[in-house]
Amino acid sequence: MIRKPICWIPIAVSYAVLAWFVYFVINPLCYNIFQQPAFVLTFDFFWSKVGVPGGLSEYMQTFIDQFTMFRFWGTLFLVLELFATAFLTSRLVRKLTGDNEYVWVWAHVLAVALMFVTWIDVKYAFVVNMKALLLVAVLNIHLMLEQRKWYLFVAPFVAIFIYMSCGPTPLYIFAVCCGILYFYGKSQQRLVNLLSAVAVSLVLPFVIYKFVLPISSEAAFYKVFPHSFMYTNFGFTISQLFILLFIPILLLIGIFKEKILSVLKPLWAKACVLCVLFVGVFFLAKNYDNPMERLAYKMEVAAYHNDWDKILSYVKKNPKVFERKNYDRNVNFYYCLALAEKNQLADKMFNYPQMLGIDALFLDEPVATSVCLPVAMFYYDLGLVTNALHYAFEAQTTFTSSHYTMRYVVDCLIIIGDYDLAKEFLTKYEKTMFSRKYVAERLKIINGLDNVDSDFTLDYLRKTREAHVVEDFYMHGRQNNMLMILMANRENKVAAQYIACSLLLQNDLESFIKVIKSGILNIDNNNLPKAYQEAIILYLATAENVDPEIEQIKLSSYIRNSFSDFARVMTSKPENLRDVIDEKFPKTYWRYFYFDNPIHTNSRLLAH
Amino acid sequence: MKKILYAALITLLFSCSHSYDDCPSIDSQPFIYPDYTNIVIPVNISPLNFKVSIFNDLLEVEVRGKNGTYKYKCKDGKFICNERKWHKMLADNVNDTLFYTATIIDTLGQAVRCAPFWQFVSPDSIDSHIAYRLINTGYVLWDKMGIYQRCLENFNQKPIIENQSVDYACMNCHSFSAQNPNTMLLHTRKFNGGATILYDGKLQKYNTKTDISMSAGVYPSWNPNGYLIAMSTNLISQQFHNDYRKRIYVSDSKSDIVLLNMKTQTLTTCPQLSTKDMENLPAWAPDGRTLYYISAPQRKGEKGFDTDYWYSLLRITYDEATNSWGTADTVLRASDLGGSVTFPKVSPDGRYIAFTFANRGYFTPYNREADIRLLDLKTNEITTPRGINSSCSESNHGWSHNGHWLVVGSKWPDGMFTKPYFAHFDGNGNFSKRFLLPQEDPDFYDDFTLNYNNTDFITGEVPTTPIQWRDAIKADPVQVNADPSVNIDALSGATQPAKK
Repeated sequence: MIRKPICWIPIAVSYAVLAWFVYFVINPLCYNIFQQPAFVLTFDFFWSKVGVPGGLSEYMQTFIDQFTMFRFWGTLFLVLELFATAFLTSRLVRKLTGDNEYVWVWAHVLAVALMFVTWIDVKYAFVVNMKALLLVAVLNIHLMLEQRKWYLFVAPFVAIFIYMSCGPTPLYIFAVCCGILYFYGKSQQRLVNLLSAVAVSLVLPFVIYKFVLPISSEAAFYKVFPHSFMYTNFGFTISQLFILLFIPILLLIGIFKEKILSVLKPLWAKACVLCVLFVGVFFLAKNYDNPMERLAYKMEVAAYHNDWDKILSYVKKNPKVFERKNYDRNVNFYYCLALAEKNQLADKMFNYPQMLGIDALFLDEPVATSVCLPVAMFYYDLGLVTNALHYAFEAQTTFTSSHYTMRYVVDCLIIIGDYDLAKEFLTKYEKTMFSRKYVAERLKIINGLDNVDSDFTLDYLRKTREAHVVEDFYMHGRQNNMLMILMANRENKVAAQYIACSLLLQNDLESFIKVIKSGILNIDNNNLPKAYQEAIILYLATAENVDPEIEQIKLSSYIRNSFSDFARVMTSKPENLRDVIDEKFPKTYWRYFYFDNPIHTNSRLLAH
Repeated sequence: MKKILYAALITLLFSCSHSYDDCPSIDSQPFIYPDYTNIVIPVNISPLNFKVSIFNDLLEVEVRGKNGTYKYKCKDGKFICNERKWHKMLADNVNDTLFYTATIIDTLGQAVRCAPFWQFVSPDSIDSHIAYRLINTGYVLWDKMGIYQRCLENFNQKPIIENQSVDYACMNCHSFSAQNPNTMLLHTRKFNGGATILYDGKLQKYNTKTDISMSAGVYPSWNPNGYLIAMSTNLISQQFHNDYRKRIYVSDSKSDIVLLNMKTQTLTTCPQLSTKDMENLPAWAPDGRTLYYISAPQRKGEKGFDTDYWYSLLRITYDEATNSWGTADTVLRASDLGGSVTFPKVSPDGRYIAFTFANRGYFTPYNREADIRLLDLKTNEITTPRGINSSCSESNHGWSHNGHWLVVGSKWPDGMFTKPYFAHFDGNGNFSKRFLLPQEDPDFYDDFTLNYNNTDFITGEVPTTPIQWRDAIKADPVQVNADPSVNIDALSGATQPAKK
């Protein structure tokens, strides 16, 4: 047996540095809108999570999620959590086993590395984190107990604990780990351990599935997460990481253990390894996820805070978003919304490849979990409170614990004037740790100690809403909704732009011209934005019976000349017409009108 | 030393106990939540725990009955009664009235005794269980949901099936044959779709879509014989209101009624139930021969305001021996009533029909004006029982096995979350004031943001496990047969299959 002091201090410090850096500096999802579980304190909630395989780690992850919205204190908490787990388990191994099993310490480091690698969404990364940490902690305890003879009786219980707390995959990993132990330290005791672990991992999922818990076969036998949504979206990746990385690396470390120990003897060698780990994790983390998805999340948070300049700056800093191969529906949506808020939609909309047409200008169809909160935010911001509430409720079906959802629900109800119901939600919300100030402010309004007009947004939306309410009006049709908003508040430039631009995206020039003529947009027809002028000149060139009033609209000479060039290219019909148009008229409505595919050919993009 | 300790302990105990008998009395009854004042309660109901409004604090409750007085000290301002003591108290006072005198701290901080309120302990027991779905307030999307059973004699709630075991499928329209927990139907959709039926001790999933039906079965009603199930077939859509109070409008573009015979696993229908009008929501009478249902004229368009979209109540007879249907007969004409009749439920004695009456449509949980009305089939008189209605929506009601209790799904008081209320029926057209499903903790409903959907009485616990339901729902469905004797050409309505 090799007996050397364990290097838990540098490992724990590395945890701290890594976690701090990843969560605090580079991970934008720390404050992701979807990860705010508020109600983790109820017993029912506890059992609903813990009662299925892998539930304990998910429960712990759910609890910890609450902290991630606080960039500084939340991150500090997470780092402390990692530090504590590393310290305690390593300390335990050191005290009770004589520190001879470096392989488990490395497994510990690897577990955290895995957590960072899977940071595609912090919520799922936390699950992996908790699973990995739990697994390693249990493995360490296993190691400790293994030196006692009665461990033979304990091994199956350890396996059961791993299964129920971490899920099926870690159970299989546990069995493999027992195999590794036997491989480099053959003994009869370890053989019995291995056999009992294998037996449990083969039998237990079957017993749980068939006789104990009403869970799906996936959850019992191979699902990484008890929750189907997580598995559907990220399960495969994380399974791969667990199975393809965790086990082979453990095997390699086991095989080359002696060599590794001799190489790592000097302090500088340990430091080097930590640096390599640090860089490696950073590299993987930086390149692992979808940058457009991250960008969409960042935009989502900025939009929630009405920070439209930030959204536009994100786009400015990431010119890749304009490349068609990087198209993302949510990025498209937030970009358009930010432009509209800054009254630039009709000038710059076609800078972005509007590949989904109207379906990226609005996100509400098809209804999906991922669009409910953005749509609630969108309608809330525009002033159609009833629709915002509708989508907030839809969002609540999945994001039951999201404080963003709760805030939309409560604020919409206050605007509508249903204080009793708002209070019910606040009572629930009040039990969370971090929203006391918000709850207190809203309760003041509800209890009559403050007026709605104390909050500018609530007051404004209530006043505009009063004009919206029309008996028996069905909310159908995105343009109808925008029209209703505009009728209630003629100054609502966002709604006006959305009406006109949605017609352009539908290539409906006739209706667009009618809207321009009606004056409903409340803009100067002789100083129209770029896209409108491009649409009008196109209309003038293609319509059979041109409205004389439209002919009077003043168009810029640049656009007239540009359109003449465009028409020349179109009529000359070169072989590479599309390439020529892309090159010469890349950001024009004309290109969209003739060449960018409308929704019916891009429907698969909606799935993203 | 020990003696001193004992003495100190006894002194402490005595100093803690306090009698409020000498407190001043006030004329008004306390405002308690849930409102269990002046109601009729079944002898076997679980404790009706309550609290007082936030402006007061509940100190003590004295319950006076014919066989003595019971005093309950209240902790944290809540009256929470021990189950064993509660049931004994009810058994001792059956067919008599209990008077509750609450001592509260009033707004001035003074202990006062309120005027007593009463609860009459009816000898008519209530069915031991109810079954319901618990779901979030989503209109299109859903996540976790389940069908649960709750024992009314205590606070035990058990899942019949939760959707996390069946890939988060949507599940509802559970129904039972004459409140018998041994015969049950449950629809699942989106994932693992089909009608899973507990019949003859066996769980089996069926595909009820056939050539003679436009869709799989939707709203079911079991014949009391336990093997015939009438089901509607619907093409359903949703529309959303700008008016917050109405929120959502669920409507059909087409609907018909079919009949599934579990013995032969055959689906049948008749031209009278498959007209161009929209037949919907079947409900068997206890004689097992009369089928009540609602019907509305065919819709003119898919969209519109639909304010004239009213359903009438009809009935038709069915002779199982000859597999023949009678003539459809209109029981309540919507135009005569000036509104829509929906969710007809025939009382077990066959004399009354409790139905929901609303301004429009048939799916009324979101119709704020929807109320329960009672039709006396003997006198054809319609009444609107005060005790079971409120200013919010009431619908999805059901009779107990003995016909003495009605459960009503009501969105009162918040207009948002449906909760089950119970009311006693005296058999002569009169309901007592309703009361809310009791919970162990009176704070339960304060932050409970799920809806109790489609609450129905059952006379016992469903004798299956969630694992059995999971396995049945995940299995391949058995295709039911279309009745070959149905003359498809004679079907004048929507169920005609598309020409191939």
